[in-house]
Amino acid sequence: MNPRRLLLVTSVLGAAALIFGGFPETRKLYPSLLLVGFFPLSLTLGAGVFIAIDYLTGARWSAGLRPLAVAMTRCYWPAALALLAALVLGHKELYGWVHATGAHVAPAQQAWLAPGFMLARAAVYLAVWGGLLGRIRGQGSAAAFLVVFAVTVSLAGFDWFMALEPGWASTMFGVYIFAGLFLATLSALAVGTVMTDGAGEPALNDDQLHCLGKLLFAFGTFWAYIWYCQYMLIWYTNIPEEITYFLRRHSGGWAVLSITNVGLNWLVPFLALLPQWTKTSRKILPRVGLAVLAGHWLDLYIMALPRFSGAGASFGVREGLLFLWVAAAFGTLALRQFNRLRER
Amino acid sequence: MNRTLFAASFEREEDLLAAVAEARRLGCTVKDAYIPYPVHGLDEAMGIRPSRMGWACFFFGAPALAAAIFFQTWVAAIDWPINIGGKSFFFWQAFVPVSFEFTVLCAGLGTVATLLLTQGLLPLRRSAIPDMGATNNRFVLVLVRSGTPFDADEVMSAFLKCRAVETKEFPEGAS
Repeated sequence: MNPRRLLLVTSVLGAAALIFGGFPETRKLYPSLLLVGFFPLSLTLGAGVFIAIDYLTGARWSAGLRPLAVAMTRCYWPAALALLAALVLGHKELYGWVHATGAHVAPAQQAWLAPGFMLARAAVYLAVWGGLLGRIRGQGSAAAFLVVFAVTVSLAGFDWFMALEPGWASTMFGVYIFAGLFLATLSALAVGTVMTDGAGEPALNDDQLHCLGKLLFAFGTFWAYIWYCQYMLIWYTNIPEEITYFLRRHSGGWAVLSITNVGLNWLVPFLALLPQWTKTSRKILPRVGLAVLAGHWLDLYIMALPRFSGAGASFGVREGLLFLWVAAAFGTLALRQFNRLRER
Repeated sequence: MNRTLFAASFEREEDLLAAVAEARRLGCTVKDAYIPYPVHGLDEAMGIRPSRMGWACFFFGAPALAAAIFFQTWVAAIDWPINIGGKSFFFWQAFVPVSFEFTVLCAGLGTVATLLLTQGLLPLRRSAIPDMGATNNRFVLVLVRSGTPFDADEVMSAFLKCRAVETKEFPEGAS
């Protein structure tokens, strides 16, 4: 079956299964919607970062990946709208704790997380990213995008994910969001480039695929480094308002998910891509990419869901279906943009 | 027995790659190439097998990792357990930075030492570069003249066809 049809069938079947089998329980609705928006959004933004780095470094090896990256950035608006919908509809459920009676929240934080200000900021981030993404056409615009992106993605991470956890703060969080985002983007590029290779000359030769494999290997380790930096400092100081975040995520069913998370985002790419031949293998590299993409979803799931999941952790068939549907729908959109670019 | 070496200098990397292919086609032994920067595809063209330096790195790094974990466990949990903030005696989270740094240190120093020893890059040793232009803008190819049948004229004309700018013959050990 060709990849386009495979993606289309998966997204249609996934949507049908979600509608008839039931979306994740109602209390999980809004954080799940947040993931539905942010997962594809992070891939489109990561593709923008990839293109910008290309321009700034004058890289030539990655020229074969450019159409794919551009196609990914063109899926930006559907993802941005889904995310905005989650924030607008779910604001009260997601961030309502700030204004609950009896909550001990610093006045500055209360003002920063006020619904109007928060949604206005989100609209500004999304509008600025959307405006800049399609205009990366040289060193100047690439540099401008990276500088603006570095600041705004950290703030967006603080706003959308860190603020889900009452009273919790981590200065590593912005970098952590970026590390996961860029790692997932490289994985999507690895999956996409092998998927779109037709019968003719592949878009990347073996040396260039090796470069992509090395980047994937390096950023898997970067993600683990950032994950550990955030975890280690909080574990070490053991301050109640900070450590509760990890206490919840490192006990019971969440502990299993957390270990799986580190396994998928770091251990799998690290061990699988150590030798040279796996980095250049058109069978192994995209499979590692798929594992990391699932890991990226799980990473976001562990960030967003614990407060809305009751006592135990659950990542069941419905959560898996939701991921499959989002990933396949994004793949379908990106592939359509890619083919449109190629026809021109 | 001192072998006679044969060096040819080129000004462009494409010429060097062509000359390497030509030399191997003529059945010459390629001893080495001196180049100002890494040239893509040269290893494959020269038929050099993949470096085993990664294994050297692994064999220095793995015991270092094991030693670091063992030592910290022994100190913190076995020989003199101290209760620090109620944390478990075997607080592996705090072992990670030290284990990581020690592994990198041993693997790094060990790999550099392996490189220097196996390549004969020892202090006070004279450089074996036949044409110092290789440190600047030239690509120098060195062939072994004896051992295999070697028709100097044929090789010479092949090199000139590849736009060699300078050729010379010299006994091994001198330059």
